[in-house]
Amino acid sequence: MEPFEARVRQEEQMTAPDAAGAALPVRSAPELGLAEVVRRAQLGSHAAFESLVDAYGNRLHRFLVLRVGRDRDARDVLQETLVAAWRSLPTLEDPERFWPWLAGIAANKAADAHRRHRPTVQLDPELPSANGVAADAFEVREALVALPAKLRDVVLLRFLLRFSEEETAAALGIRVGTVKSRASRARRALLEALR
Amino acid sequence: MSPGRDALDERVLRRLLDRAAEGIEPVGAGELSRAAHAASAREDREHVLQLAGRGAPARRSSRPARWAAALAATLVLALLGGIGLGRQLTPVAESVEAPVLPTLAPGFAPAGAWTVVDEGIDVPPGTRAVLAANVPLDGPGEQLELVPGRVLAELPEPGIVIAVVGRVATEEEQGEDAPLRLADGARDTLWAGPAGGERPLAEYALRGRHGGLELDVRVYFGTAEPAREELAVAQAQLDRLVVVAAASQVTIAARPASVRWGETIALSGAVAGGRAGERVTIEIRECGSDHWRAHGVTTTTSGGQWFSETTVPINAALRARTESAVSGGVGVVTSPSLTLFTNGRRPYASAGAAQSFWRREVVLQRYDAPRRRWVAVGRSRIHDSGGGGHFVWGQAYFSARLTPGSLYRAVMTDRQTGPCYLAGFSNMARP
Repeated sequence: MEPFEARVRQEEQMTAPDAAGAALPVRSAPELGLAEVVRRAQLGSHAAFESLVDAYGNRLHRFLVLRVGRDRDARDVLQETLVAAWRSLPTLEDPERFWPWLAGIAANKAADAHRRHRPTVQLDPELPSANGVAADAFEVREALVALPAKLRDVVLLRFLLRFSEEETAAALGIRVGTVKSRASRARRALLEALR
Repeated sequence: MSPGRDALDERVLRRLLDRAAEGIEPVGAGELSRAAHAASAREDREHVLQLAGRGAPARRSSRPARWAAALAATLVLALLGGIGLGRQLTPVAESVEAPVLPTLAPGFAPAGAWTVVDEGIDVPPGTRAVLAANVPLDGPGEQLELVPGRVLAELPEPGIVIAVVGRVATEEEQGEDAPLRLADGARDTLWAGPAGGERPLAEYALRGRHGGLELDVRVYFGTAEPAREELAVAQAQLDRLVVVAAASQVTIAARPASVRWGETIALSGAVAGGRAGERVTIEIRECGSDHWRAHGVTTTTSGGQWFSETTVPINAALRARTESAVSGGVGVVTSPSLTLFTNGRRPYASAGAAQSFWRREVVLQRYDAPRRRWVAVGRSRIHDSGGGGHFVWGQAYFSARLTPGSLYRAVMTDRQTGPCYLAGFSNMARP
C-alpha cells in the first residue's frame, strides 16, 4: 500500500506551491497507508484525525480562500468543515476517497456560508499585498470571484486540487457530464475575464 | 491565452490557479492541530457512529490506544515544521491529548563558535527543544521554528545547524543513555531556499536517549556533501549535548509572529507540572519600552496547556508568567494598517497604528503588468491625523491621476514605519 505521507507529498508537489519565501519541502514520514489512518479516525482516533487534518488542512485552506475570497472567512469555513467531517467520517465508505470527500464537504460549507452572508464573496483586500503576491495573481482571484459559485467549485476542484472529473463529480454530488459542462463554461468565462 | 481560443487552456488554468494561491498564508501546524482537536472533541460523534450502523467505539481496547499514541507521535513529527523531525518517535504516552511539559530540557555545554538557543522556539506540546548553530541564529526574543527555514535558506557552506527535540522517555524506553553519532544517522537531502532557488543541504537524522529524555536530532549542513572536517565539527558539538533543568517552567509561542495592526495572534504554551487551572499572566514589552507590563491573563487546561488570543499594537515581545516561573520572550512584529482609497476626487491612503506617522512618506504604486513590477507614480506625506490612545490615524493625499483599469497600491517603507513597525502595504485598488 502506498504510504500515506508519500502520497500526500506527491499530491502536494502536484498542487500549488507554498508561498513562503523560504519554502521547505514536505518530508516523508511513517509507513502508514491513507486508508488505515482514515479507518482509525472512523473508529474514533482523535490523533488519526489530527494527522489527516495536518496533511490536508493547508490545501483545503487554499481552496477555501479562493472559494470564499477572504482568509478569515476561509478559516471559519475550514473549522466548520472539520466539525462536519469528524461527525460524518463513519459514513465514508471508501477511505481511499477521503480527500475528495473532504473537499466536497468544504465546498458545501462554503456554499452555506455564502447563503448566510450573501453577498459576501469579495476579495480580501489585505491578503494579496500583505504577502507580496503579484498583481496578476490578484487578477485571477478577481476573475474567480466573479464566477458563479457552481462554476468556481468545479474549477477549483478540477484545476487547483487536480481532482479527476469523476472525483469532482463525487465531491460535489453532480454528474460527470455536469462537471464537464461547468468546467467548459468556467474556462470560457475566465478567458473572457482575463483577456 | 491565445486570442484564437474561446476557452482557457487547462494547463494555463492550472498555472494561473497555482499563482493565485501563492501568498495565501498557510495555516500553522498548531492552529490546524487545535482546529482538528476542537472538531473531534465534539460529543455528538457516537450518535453519528450508531446511525452509520458501525457501532460506537464505546471503549477503546489497548490496541487502538496504542495506535492513537503512535499517531500522536506521527502528529508530533508533522508539527515539527513539516520536516519530519520526529520521524521515528515511538508513542509518547497513553494520554495523547495533553502531553505534559518536561521539566528537563536538552542543551549544549558552552563552546566558542556555537550559538545556542533554547527559548522562543515553537515546539509541539510535551517537548523541549534546543538549536545550535555555528552561524548566527535569529536575535533573542525572535520566535524560531524548530527547523529555522530562514537560517537554513541562507546557510553558508561551512554552516551547521543542529536541532534537538526531547520528550520524557516512557517507562519502556527507560534505559542507558544512547549516544548520538552522526555515523549512525540516516542521511537525507533537504532542499532549502526561496521558491525556485532551492539548493540541497545534507540532513542527518539521529535518535538518542540522554538523562531520561528521548531525543530526536537533525543536523543540517550548508552543503549536500559535507567534508570530513565539517562532520567532525558537528560530531564534536553533538558530544556536548547535555540534559539540564529547563530554563523556564512555562513556555510561550505566538502564531502568526507577524501581523497587521489589529489582527489577532494566537498564543499558546504550557506550564511544567501539568496542572489545570493554573493562572498564567501574559506580559508585553512594547517597542521603545524597557518594561514588561501585564497584557492579559489566562489559565491552564489539562496537561498544563494554555491558549489565548490577543492583539499587539506595535512590535513587541511577549512572555508568560506563572506564580513561580517566567518564560523567555517571543517577538511579534506588526505592520501598520494601510488602506488605499481611489473612489474619491483624489486618491488617498489612510494609515492606522498605535503611533502617529505624521509627515511620514507614503508611495503610490501602479502595477506594470508587462514588466511584472510595481512602479512608483506618486508620493505624499501624511498630514491629516487624529485618534488617540492605542489608535492614531493619518491620511496622505496623492495628486497623481489614476488610469482606469490599472492596479494601484500604497506602500510605506520600513524607513518610514520603523523601528517599531514593519513596512506597510495597502490593499490593491483598481479605479
